[in-house]
Amino acid sequence: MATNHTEPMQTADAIGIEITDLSKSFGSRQILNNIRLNITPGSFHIFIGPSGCGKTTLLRLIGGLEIPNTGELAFHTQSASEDKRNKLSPSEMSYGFQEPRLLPWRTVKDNVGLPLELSGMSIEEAHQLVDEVLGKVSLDDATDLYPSQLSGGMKMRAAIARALVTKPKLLLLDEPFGALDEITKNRLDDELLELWKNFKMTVILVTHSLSEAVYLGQHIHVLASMPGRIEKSLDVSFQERTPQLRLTTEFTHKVAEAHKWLQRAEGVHA
Amino acid sequence: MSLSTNEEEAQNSVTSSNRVRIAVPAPLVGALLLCLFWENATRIFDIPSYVLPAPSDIFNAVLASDNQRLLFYATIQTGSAAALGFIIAAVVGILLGTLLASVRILRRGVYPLANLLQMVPIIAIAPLLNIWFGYGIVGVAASATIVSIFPVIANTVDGLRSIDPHLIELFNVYGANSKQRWRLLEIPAALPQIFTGLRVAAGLAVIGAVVGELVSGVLTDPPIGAVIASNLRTSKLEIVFAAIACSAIVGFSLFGLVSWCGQRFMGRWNSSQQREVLDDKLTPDSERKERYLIIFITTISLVLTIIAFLPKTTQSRSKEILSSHRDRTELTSVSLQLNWLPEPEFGGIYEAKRLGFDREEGIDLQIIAGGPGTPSGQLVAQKKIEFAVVDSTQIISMRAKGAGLIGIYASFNKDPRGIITHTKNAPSSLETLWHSNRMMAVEPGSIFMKWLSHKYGESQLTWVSTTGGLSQFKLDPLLAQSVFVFSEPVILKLQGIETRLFPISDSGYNPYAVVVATHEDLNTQNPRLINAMNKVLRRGWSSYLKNSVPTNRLLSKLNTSMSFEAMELALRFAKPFIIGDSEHLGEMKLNRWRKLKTQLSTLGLLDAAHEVKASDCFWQP
Repeated sequence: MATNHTEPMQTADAIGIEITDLSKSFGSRQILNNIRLNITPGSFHIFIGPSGCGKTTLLRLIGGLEIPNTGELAFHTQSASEDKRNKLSPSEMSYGFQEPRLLPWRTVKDNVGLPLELSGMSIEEAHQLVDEVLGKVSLDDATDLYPSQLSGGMKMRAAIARALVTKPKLLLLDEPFGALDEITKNRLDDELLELWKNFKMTVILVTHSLSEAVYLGQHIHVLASMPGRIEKSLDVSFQERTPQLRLTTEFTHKVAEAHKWLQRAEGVHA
Repeated sequence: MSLSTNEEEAQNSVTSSNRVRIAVPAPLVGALLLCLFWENATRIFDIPSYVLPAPSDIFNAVLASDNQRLLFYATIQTGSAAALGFIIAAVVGILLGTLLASVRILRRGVYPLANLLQMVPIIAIAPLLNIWFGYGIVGVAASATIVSIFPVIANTVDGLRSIDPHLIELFNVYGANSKQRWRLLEIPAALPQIFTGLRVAAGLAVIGAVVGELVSGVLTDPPIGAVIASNLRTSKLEIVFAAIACSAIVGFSLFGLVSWCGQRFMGRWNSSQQREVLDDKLTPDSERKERYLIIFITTISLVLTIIAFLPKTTQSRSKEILSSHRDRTELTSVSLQLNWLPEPEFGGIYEAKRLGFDREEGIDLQIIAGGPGTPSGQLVAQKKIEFAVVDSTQIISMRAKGAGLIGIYASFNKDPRGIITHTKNAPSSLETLWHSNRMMAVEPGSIFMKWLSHKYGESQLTWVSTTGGLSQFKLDPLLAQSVFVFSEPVILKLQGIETRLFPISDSGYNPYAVVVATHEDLNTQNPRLINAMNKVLRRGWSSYLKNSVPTNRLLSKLNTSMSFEAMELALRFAKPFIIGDSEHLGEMKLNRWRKLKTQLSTLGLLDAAHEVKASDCFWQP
């Protein structure tokens, strides 16, 4: 019933997740051990940690791309917090991969429209939504270009647009801007924050950049490896997140704190 | 920033399209240069047209309206057969490839076997394709399909199997069903590779068709393969090369059509990707090198052209005959190239060697066995060898091209060619056979068929090629087939099939056959050697005809495809043709050479370039 809203009242619909005792191993290799995490609807969470700590695996478990060995994932919405499910439909959740994963034979417009096409939506309806979302990621001028004609940043924006076109209530992003240069990355971070505010969805983002983590996240979960576990969860609250924030001492202190925990997670003691 | 990159891209594409416009005639320039080198080489090295025709010879041959008609219909025929074969290969190949890609057990069990397709020596099974699929376009198309289908299958399988697993995951995230995945992901992802396979197949289909036609073309309006086969036989190489050029045209057209379809199907994204690969960047340095190369090539070709067209002051130094000047007391060692496997048609030659007649006459004779396509006439004309077995028509037609061939001994006084039918349904004569509506299997390009047309008029027969062996004859009780009297009838007789023979000579066309020929220069330089050779051959044949057993035993050892019994039977069938109406074995008469020459020129088979005198064609003691 909660999903029947036609008004874009997404706050009420954003997805929350309760993760209890989640473990995952590949063969004899234990990747994640007893992960417990509560993600409230509409919040912005960051997974950060040394490489190989299992942060991507955790994100894939949440996205349903992997099946946990033990433990449980329970999804709910704010408006019906007692109505717990352990599966999401493709229209509720979007997954942004490390790579843009665009189909080379489709134009930007058709790539972005792919999820709608797969859900069986009519072309007219899809066009409107696609144009809307392309405007939001500033790709209005590139709608008819093919991926090979795009720059790296444009490709990633197209991928984000594709993730947003279904108006997901949960957005999972796996190092989406990892391969981009600093300037482009910072600009896309700002765009992402803007989108998060507009769409009022729950976002979980995996990154290995501390400044990106602090800049974007309300909650930063530092993961330690062997086996993967949550070493520390930090809460970050800034009055306003604008490019100037990066220059404040408040920001650098928070980065330093996160850095300390990251080193601890890696087993390095300062 | 993104704006500036767009501008840059736009500029790049502008310059690249400029370059493309300049590059278009480059292959044409390349082809013209190649022709120039080729032309010069044939002139500088004085290569006769029966060894390698110059581009100008080919061009002149194409200008003749008869040849234009021939080549036009040949191209149409081959083009349609290749296109049909290609379409079958494309449709079946893509379906099969899809099946193999999606069913694991088939991929494991059948795909490796599909590899066999590309290892089939098509020339070996092409004759059988006639029997399986019938004569004409279907058999030829089957050959084209067999040759071209594998790249289609392999590229379809690879294309469908090598889809980015990342994209498959993407489709799974958005809950795509298998039909959507197939339509929206797998097919478009595999398409570029499938088209790569199709482009390769397009060229191969033409090769397959031409090879199929070499052995199985229907002979009314012959296709390219049959034109090549028949003109190789009469050593009209300029037509052969013109036909090769026609098959290249067919190949390019098919390739171009497939590429164009690919463009249409895959649209802009693929062409933009390909452009990046093809657009090799030209640095100032490489541009300078390119310019030097152009100057170099131009200079070289200019110099060569001047040399090639300079009037020749000295007689071109012809290669010396290997062993003509030897000590008189020693044996003169010479070689004789046969044009077929050791069989009774050469019995007298082997007999002479076996009994040492050559040594008694001061010669050490080495016999070199031949096989299908042995260019025996060319070898003698080029003075690569002293003696070779040829046909009297070959002597005349090669002399008409300026070759110095002369016949010194005719093993067969009467032409051993004939047409056989089953005894049961035999017509009363060659002429009634000619006007019946049977199917007739002949070798492509047989001169005697042209003669029969000339003599008896338009025929009702349906022409097919003999290269399918005897299977078709055994299957079809009404088939007529052209044969050598000592070959096919023998095989059939040994298998219990009785045949009726109609000798071609009944029609008045009666060339000397299995003629031992030499170069006229050798006769001028060393007439004693020719005299001796003639004597060796005459003694050999005379002895062989009296008692053939020891030599036939020897022959069946040298050529294991024929038993001793077969050798004996072959000789029995051949004997009347060897003797004919000659007073002395091996001798040739001026009036018969004259008659043959007249017949050939009546049929339009002689070049006007060199006037042939019948008395020059053969040796007289």
